[in-house]
Amino acid sequence: MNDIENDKDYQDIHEKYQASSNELPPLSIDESILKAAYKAVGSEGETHANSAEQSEQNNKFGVDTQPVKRAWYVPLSYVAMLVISLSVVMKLALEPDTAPMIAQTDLYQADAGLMDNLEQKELSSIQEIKSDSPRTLEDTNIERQELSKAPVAIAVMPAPTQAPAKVAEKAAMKKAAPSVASDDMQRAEQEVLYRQERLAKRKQRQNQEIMKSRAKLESDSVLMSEAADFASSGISEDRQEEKAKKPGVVAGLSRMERSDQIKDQDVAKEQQVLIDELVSLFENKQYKVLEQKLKEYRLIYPRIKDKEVLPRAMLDWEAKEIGKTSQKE
Amino acid sequence: MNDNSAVDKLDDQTDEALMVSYQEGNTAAFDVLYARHKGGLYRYVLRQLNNHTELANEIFQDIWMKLVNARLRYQPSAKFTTYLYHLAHNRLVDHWRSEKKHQQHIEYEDILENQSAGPHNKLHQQQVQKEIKQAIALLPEEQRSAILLKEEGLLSLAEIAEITGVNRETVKSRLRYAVKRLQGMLHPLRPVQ
Repeated sequence: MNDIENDKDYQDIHEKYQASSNELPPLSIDESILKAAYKAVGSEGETHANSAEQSEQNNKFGVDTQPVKRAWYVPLSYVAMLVISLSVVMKLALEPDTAPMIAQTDLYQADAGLMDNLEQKELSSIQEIKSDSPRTLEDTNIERQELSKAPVAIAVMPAPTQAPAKVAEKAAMKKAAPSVASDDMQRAEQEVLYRQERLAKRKQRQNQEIMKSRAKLESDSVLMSEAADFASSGISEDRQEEKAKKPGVVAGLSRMERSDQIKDQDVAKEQQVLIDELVSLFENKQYKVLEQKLKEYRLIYPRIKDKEVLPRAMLDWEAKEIGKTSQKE
Repeated sequence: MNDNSAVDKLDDQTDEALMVSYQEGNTAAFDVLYARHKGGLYRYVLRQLNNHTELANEIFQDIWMKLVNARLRYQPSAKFTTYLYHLAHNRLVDHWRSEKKHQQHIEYEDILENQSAGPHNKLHQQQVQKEIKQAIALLPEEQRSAILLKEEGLLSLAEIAEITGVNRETVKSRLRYAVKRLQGMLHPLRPVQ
């Protein structure tokens, strides 16, 4: 570059050219160009009349100087936004948004009420069982019916603080949206049924235990009375004969057997106490009392073999004494 | 007062900043830009068209309208003068292609006859101006473009190379040939070095 600019010939030409170069475009052209430039920038808000004038100018210039047309998607996007927002508003307005909430709160209240009822009834039933007055099946059925009716009634009933118009509106909403409420109702009913079953099972178990304890008490009392009868009426020689003569004793024995089966551990302890007593009587040579106790023992524990439990000396003594008495008689 | 200060501020700005300002809708920026470059561009077009005024006016308007319409595509990274003369060069090339004939039919003898009129009269300066214009008109298209872009656009060799689509050395040699040829036409009796 410097080579060219430093060249004398170039400098000469440059000076001459610059001296001769003074032409400018006509003013009319200046005006038309500037006008077109202004229009191009500020043409977006211009009217249709200006576009006709501009088209003439375009023909003059031979180029398209029309303003850029507004994109079609701008108004379309506005319309789309409007439609979407309207649809959302409409949906929100028509949707029963409060109905499920009301149904749920009512169901929760119903559930809470049911829980309280159940707890109270459970307590009362336990007290009844304790007081030894068993509930009948009819009572249980009535309770079940009441409980099954309770959630429906509470769910349908409006809150007392609400205005009547609002209550009617809510009822209508509930009708409009039955699926949500019915699901919750079913759940509540299932919960109630489950609790009822659990209560019934518990009651059954308690009744069984009471029956068992009663049977035990009865058997013990009968046994004791029979044993006392035996002792007072004198000891017979042959057990078979006694059995034939006194069927009550046999019945008492059979009950004893049953009671033995029920409580093996207690019986074993009692048996051991009795054996110890027999042994102490034998050692102290209290033979008369020993005889009675031995008979008693055999009545209580008829199936247990003597050889396994009682001392051999005592058995020998018994054999001798019983032989003597039978010979005397 | 305010308008004057605003215009002064715009005068201080570069071409690129003015063009960006015009992109943003500032028409005053376009005024300044147009005032800066209208003369050079007009003379460039006029010389390229062998001083055909009407044609030059039309093409000159076209070039500026192209600039106006393509204002949003302008990137400030490009030098504005290069951008403007690129538009002008392409427009002239289109014109030449459509015309298929250049106004190179001016006879060299006519120029020589005019030269022989003698430098000693009062109209010597005007005569020189006429001569040089005619001499430039007689240059081949590539050399004429190179010398006019250099003189009117005040562009560097690289910028001229970018506009004309050749490398820098080619532009340099074209300029040398153009200068030699102009010297030969303006001073026919002087020995060419």
